[in-house]
Amino acid sequence: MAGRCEVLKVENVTAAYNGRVALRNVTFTVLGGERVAVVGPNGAGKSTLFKVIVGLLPLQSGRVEVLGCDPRREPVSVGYVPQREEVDLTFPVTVSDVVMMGRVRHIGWLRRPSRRDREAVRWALEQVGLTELANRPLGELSGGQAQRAFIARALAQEAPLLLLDEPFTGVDAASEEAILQLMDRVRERQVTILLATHDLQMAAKWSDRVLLLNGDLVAYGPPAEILCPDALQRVYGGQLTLWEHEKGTLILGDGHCSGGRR
Amino acid sequence: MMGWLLEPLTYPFMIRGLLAAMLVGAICAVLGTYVVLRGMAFFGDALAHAILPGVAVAYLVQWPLSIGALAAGLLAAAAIGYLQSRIREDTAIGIVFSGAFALGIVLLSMVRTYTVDLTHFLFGNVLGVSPTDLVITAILSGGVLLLTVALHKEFVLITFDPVLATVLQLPTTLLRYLLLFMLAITVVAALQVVGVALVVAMLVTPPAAAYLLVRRVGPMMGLAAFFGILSAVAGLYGSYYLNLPSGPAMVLVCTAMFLLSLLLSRRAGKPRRGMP
Repeated sequence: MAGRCEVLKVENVTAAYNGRVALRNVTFTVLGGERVAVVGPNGAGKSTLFKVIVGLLPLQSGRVEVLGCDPRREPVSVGYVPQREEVDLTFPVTVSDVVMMGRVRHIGWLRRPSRRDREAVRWALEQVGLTELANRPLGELSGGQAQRAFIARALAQEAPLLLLDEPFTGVDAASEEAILQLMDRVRERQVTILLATHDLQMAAKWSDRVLLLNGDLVAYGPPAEILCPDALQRVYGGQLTLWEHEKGTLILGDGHCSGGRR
Repeated sequence: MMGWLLEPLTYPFMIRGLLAAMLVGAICAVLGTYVVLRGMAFFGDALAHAILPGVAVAYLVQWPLSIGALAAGLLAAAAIGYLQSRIREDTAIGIVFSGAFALGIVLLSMVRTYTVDLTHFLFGNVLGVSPTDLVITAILSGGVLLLTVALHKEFVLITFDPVLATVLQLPTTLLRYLLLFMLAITVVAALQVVGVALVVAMLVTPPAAAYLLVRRVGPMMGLAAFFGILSAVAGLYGSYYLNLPSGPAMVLVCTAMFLLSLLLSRRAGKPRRGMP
């Protein structure tokens, strides 16, 4: 993987969410095609980090660069799937209408979708396994299928960087499997993925690097180094149960996962 | 039957009225589709009332009423658009709408033929459409329709998912204001046909009926326009033969079509709102 460029560069970023500073002086770089798991307890700033990168929240200080450009000024495509889509599921659109929305900038002003746009939509639907449901109204999908449709929409942007915020929350097993598989497939296309998750097992198995957040950046590196008892205990404190075993340490889970959401 | 249909058309004022009503029926339904999907019914109603002071001022200084209405409508849309960044949207609408309406009534009361004019303003006067009025209505409707066709996918996106629109760096604020202005223009065009009090019915009822029957925005808009035009024609004939006030007659046809759609959609089993 020689010559990989820096896809995402976050420098000394400080940002507030709901009037509270949620990120302090965060600095890190992500290379092309890398898979980064963003982990940390509730309120650690995972969602804030994503919102800052796509320009939904203002920076108090610092800089964000995607492929050398400021994503809040220049139209660099960042695919973003928020933790919970705040959309009206009874809106009269089909699944492929939703995915086509990701192509709005590619289509351009005053134009209609071209063959190229329709192909991108078809490809994206195939990746998430929703080809057969393309013409269904969005309101008829299950929660997991709707989540896949929103991921397909982000894929249809053909963005070099994909931000998935807790994509497995409230998702059925089939959809979780489909999402995991598609993340493997898009990797071949050199798509860089940041995945915010509570699931430390998955973070360990899936990622090239783990970003441990707790307001500030606690640690950033390969999973084997980051997901060690010391660092995790420091961030999660009592919320994490660690099982010391003769063969190694077993992490029994981030308390927020089993305990559910507030 | 043919004679029955053609008889009213022997009067030029009926032809003008019919054309104006059809234009308004179509354009209200098209813009109304966004109104229904964005939940802006109250805004449309308020905008119609807020136009009164503009009309009154134009009347007093002997300008074309539609110019005054347009100015007041755009001003009200801008005021509401600005205020909703400071206070809740429905509160902002309530303040602007009632204040402007009160101002309009005070201004109109200075005019001698106060009651007649106010009645026309409130309930429309489609049979009083002059050739100039018809041309203005056609220009306004044409402009709004053109913008709708040109920016449809962007309007749908800021309606369905403003977050994605922001992420994709669409000029969301600009588009939102443009939509408000287009709505103001539509309301002005509709004023002479159905009047302030009933504009919101022409905006909301045909798209709501269409919403119950189809599952995509484009067809919903087309079907709504068809319902709007049909209501305009049926309402006007009804008013001619049954001697009914024309604006309310059109609105009642819309309402009947909505009830019919409700019945049909229940039978077709389209999933209801709020059901999983």
